[in-house]
Amino acid sequence: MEQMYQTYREVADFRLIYIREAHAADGARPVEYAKELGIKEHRTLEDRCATAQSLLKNNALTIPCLIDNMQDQVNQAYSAWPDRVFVIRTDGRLAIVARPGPQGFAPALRETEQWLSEWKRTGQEPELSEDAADAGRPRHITEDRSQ
Amino acid sequence: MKIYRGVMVFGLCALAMHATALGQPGRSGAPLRSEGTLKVGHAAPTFVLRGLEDDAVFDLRESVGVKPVVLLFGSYS
Repeated sequence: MEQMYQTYREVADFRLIYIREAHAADGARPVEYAKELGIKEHRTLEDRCATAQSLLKNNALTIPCLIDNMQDQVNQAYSAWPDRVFVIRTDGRLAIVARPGPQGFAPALRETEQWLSEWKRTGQEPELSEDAADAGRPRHITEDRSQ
Repeated sequence: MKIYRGVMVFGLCALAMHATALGQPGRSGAPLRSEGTLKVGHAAPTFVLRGLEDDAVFDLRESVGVKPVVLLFGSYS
């Protein structure tokens, strides 16, 4: 992920969006390392920011990071939990919509790299598939940091 | 006969509770995984969020049109 960012950061705008935990130590399906690192469900936006800071630091990630609000509005708008990849064309339409979860994440990174490679090489955005002609209705979400 | 009825009632209650649980969020309120309705070619839902490092506001509407945008959603766990 970091390598892809370093390779294509000049030709694409990358954002890591930190959302609610997938397997927090105090969640329904905790993973062992969440218990070891004390990663818990976020009660406040400060909790979420602190955990995001840890993720970036411990994994040497330099991708610009955004923090979803405590209403999980962006997460919900994109049905992004537990993790998910999207690529947005310059016309605002979705070029890549990955399946959510670990089964979708790795294949989506490979697809994204191919897409970006073609974009970088040709200066042309790869065409959308034929069944993608129907544009969805855009929704706008305003950040709320009151939580 | 009473025992048979009791078993039947208990079984139906257990089945109903299980079916209800399947339709609910996780124990901690965690959302169930869903692909949602977004498809390739749909307009990306716009949003405004604050950055972690520099506290600057990111407005997707301002970024679209300049370069493609790659959104990577996730968490530590």
